[in-house]
Amino acid sequence: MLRQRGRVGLMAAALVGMVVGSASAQVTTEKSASILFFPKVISDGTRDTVIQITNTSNSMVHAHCFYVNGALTFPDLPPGPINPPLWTEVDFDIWLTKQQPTHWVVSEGRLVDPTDVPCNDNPPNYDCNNAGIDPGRVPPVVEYFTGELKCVETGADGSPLSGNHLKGEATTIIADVCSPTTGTCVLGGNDCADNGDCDEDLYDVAKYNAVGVIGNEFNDGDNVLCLGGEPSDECPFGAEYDACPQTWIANHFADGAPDPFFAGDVDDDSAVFTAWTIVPCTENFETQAPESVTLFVETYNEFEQRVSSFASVDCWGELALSEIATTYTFESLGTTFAQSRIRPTAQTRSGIIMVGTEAHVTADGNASTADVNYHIEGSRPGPDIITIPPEQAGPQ
Amino acid sequence: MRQVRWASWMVGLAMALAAGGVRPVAADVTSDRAAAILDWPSVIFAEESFLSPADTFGINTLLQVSNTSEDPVHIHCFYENANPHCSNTGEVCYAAEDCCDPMTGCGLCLPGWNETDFRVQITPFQPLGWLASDGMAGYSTFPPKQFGKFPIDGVSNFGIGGSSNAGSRIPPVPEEPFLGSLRCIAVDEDGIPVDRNVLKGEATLGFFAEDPDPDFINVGKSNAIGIQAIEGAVNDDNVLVLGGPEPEYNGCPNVLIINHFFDFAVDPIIDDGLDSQIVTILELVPCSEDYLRQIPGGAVVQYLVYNEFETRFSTSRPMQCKQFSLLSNIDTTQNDRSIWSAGVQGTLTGQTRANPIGGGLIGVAHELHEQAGLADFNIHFQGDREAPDFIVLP
Repeated sequence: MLRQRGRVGLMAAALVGMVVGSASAQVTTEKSASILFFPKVISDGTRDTVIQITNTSNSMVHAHCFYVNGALTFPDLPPGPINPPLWTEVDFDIWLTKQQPTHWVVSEGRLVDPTDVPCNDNPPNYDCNNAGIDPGRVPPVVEYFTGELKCVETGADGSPLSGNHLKGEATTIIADVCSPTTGTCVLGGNDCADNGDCDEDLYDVAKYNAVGVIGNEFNDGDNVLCLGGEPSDECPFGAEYDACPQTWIANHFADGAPDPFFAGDVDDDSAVFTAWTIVPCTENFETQAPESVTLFVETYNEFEQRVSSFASVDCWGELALSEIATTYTFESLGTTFAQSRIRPTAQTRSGIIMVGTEAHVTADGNASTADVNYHIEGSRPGPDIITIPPEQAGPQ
Repeated sequence: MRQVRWASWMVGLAMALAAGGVRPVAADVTSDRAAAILDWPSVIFAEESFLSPADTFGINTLLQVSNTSEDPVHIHCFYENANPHCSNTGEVCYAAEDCCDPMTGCGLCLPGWNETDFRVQITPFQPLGWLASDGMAGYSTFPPKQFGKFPIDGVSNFGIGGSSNAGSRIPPVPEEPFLGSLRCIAVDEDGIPVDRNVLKGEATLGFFAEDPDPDFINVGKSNAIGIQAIEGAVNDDNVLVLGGPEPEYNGCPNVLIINHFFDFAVDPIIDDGLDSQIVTILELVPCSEDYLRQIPGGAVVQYLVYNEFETRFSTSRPMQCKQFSLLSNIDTTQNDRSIWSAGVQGTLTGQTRANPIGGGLIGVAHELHEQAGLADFNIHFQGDREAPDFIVLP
């Protein structure tokens, strides 16, 4: 009987798979979704991040969120076998009333406090951080947090569901502090011995949209979230969510290229640098085992000349182009712009989610950054699997 | 402190402008996938000292476009100039007082719209970029390639399969200062639109100054918005149909969703005692444009605004050609009385849902932090319009 039931179950799953078809690459930075990835969440003393999440529906929406700290065990030392990423995870629930937007500063979190004073016009007082209906108790991150935030839409009982009601943004504020590695202020560019030598009123801001994964009709609501793929033992209904992209396409500057805003002359000392923040699609919060991905990067310059390289990321990585390969320098590529196509290698079992950061540095060392959402192409055969501890993914 | 001055510059511009003036189809205008039509809603250029002689900052837009396919592609592009002009002098104006001249008296600051078009051939996987102020012309065929020149001339060097940039030239924007947008359409070598979703693009808005010591830069970046062609549906006429019952391209969105700080909200991170405030500029452009008759599209935009208490406000405002406005100037010229004012809403952040009536819209947002500078971001889309939008080519 059990075998019979199992066979029926597989047939049903196969039929469902036929109906659903293979998932398309519908990770998106411009549509509401059921899973939100914020790949770059930083609170390290130099940078802090504001998270914005909105319910785009007319019903109440719940979400289960995970902070994943990808900081090195010893942040001041280079990565290596004795200095791996922490990959510590903290999770919490939020709930949003119809169409409700919310926000929090990651270093502070957002505690439930109905006495938060709203802004008012009399006298002008627009300093009302945390006023509004609190979305739940959002914990602050630890000091020196460099990692990601992931939120999964759930029902009131915590079971994942494909509502596609969430959208989000992350805003990073950078303070002008003294970099111990370069001995210069990170934004002002002047020489410094400590933070007191830098301009305490100088900041920079960058913003990106959260990357959303759209949920499909057939979501069994269990603790194993299947992103793309065909029906299997782990994913009997096939793709519960759309697949992670096969390829990310990044239009970027050659590393160190002269900034066109300053004429773009090769003799100009201004420069533009790019970094990619990358997280795996697959994550197992039950075993807390960090996922590793190996990436193949294929780059074309303006002459259509092609170079390629590989990069690897464990759990979370913020990779400067210069860290990936020397071939991305302006001297090597020979043109201001390049197009890179980034995909996991065939042997890598996880897709990736990524955002870019572009830093423009003047000849005098002044700097400004902009975050960039990259384009996607194709879908991974999948599945990528996010595993939530069962206690967190259903009735308590 | 210089951040504050250039931020004021852009806010001033926004306030001045606001005071002046059968086949299934998906809502797949997109900023994260390659497409056949690209739109950069925000193209801005102004030299130093534009608003006042004391201004030492220039503003410019760096435009990037690339071909994501292994075949060359031609694009037909249109700069849309949305500058208003004085009725008496013909000069560009962003406020009524700009048209008062001791010799001619005061004229009217009239809205304007015209287009300048050009064609470019992009070789396989080729990325290109240029400044709105300068365009792109000539060739630099050996590395290091000079910025502002095309790399492959088809005479001394060739791309894959003999492709090249031969015949390409991008003009500078037609006026300084310039406020407008850019739209590019994938076409074949004869200029006929084609259903090739192979274009992606970006815009980087930069405030910069070279002369002061030290120099200065502040940037924000957003993706061009793509409108994907429906495979096999694009015919060879000059009317491009976006959405509706017989679409050639995907439809424009029914609702545009913007998550934002309410205007003048105090930055929750910067705690410097100066109450560093945040404002947002929303730029909207119509999906429909008639380049043949030089008639810009327009719409009445209905806005629903939600704060963090789930309180709902609404307002509506017509727009034509382009809207470049502080959120808190959409419904009033008195910003602190606006429904987008943090003082009126009572919370720091909000959600605005913009529903265009009578024509589709796409847009982008600029978030200005008084102490921290500029951050651009792409806005979200939901649903698709029942009625089609039309782009009429010359």
